[in-house]
Amino acid sequence: MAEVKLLAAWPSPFYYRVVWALKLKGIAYEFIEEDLANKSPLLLQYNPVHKKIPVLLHRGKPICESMIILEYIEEIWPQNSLLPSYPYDKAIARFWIKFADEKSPAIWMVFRTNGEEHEKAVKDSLEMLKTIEEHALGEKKFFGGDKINMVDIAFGQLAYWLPVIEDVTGVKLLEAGNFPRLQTWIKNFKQVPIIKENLPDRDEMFAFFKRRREMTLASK
Amino acid sequence: MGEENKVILHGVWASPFSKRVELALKLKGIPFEYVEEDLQNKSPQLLRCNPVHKKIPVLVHNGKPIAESLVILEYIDETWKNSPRLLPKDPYKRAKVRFWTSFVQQQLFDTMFTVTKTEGEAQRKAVKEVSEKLQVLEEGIKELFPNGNPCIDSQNIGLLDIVILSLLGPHKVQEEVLGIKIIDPEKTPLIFAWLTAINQLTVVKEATPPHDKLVALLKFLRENSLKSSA
Repeated sequence: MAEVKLLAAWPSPFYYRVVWALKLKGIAYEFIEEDLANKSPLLLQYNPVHKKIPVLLHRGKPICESMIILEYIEEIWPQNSLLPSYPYDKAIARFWIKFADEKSPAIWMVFRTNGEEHEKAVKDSLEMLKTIEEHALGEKKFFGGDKINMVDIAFGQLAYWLPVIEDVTGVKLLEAGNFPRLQTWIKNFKQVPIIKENLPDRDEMFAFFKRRREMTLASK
Repeated sequence: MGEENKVILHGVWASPFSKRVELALKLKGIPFEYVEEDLQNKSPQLLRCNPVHKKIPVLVHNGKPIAESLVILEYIDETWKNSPRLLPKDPYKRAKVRFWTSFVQQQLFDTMFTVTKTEGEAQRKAVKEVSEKLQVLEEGIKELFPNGNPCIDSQNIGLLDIVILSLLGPHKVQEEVLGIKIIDPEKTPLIFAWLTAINQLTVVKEATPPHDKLVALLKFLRENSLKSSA
């Protein structure tokens, strides 16, 4: 029986956060695919509060919420560290992780809505990107410095899922603003071997999200 | 206080987020300078220390600023390792504390604000939602208090205790102003006992403004909200 199991669903960016962390640390795991339209008793048992993926199972004990899972992984398997060791730098990293989690939903609102809601979501997304461009990266290659860390992983949605949202909705957020640092980061992030080898297929993602957007807007 | 360990907290007395940090510093016996900010007229130091959000609380430790109350609390625990430890040592228990802290922060805070700032149907809906979330929390904390008796003291108080206190510690004030029962000892006996235990700590009592002052504040905030949404 695998010591580490991951309940998740393609192509969730939260699922991939955990995959990247596990792979960067060389931790073997068993992937258990969830059908979110038909949630398994296992998922309902291990995440009764939110009923969401990803859920990490370590020796049978469940941990929920992707960034909480990542902090857990970091503490259990400290090799190839994903957080700075110095408390102040760790606090700055956590600040940006929190920012990523609080502000990233705006890009999904761009994806899910139209009309006034959509306009607001576009505005919120641009503001978020501007803040990251001006305050978060500095002159570093990655948020983690020379190597990616948990902050890069937290912002991973912007590197790969946002461009798909842009294609599906036709709203070019990254071009519309002036985000040279972010654009460079996106290019570099996708070239990191573990990331490059662990990304969903772009065409399949596009088809999936195109269908989802059509369904979501039709139901409004 | 030596320059080697200078701690400044930029806060606002009425803010639950500010209160969390104040409490953590006092519980750990960390000397600090407190700067009460005027949110209508934010100090240049605050704007410099939190350029991203321009919000309080901000902790400045030896000249280096940290923003976001939960980030600050974890920083405090990692920097000052004396008792009380705000997070458990065991990684799985830490994940549990972070999970429930996130739940209170994301699921309860905003809904409680809605309860205090609305009336009529909007308020009824929010009250129902708070009640449902509290039932989930009641169930969830059973594994944190396996003997059914939350015994909180100044040595074992932690992150989740501080966070729940910041939201629901003043539930009697909220109930008086709103005329609604928020924490029913029959529906959520564990949460009621938990809050009662935390509220009895000396450090907590000393850091809590007088009841009348909190009632006046909540009335003021509520009236302002209702007026501006009318």
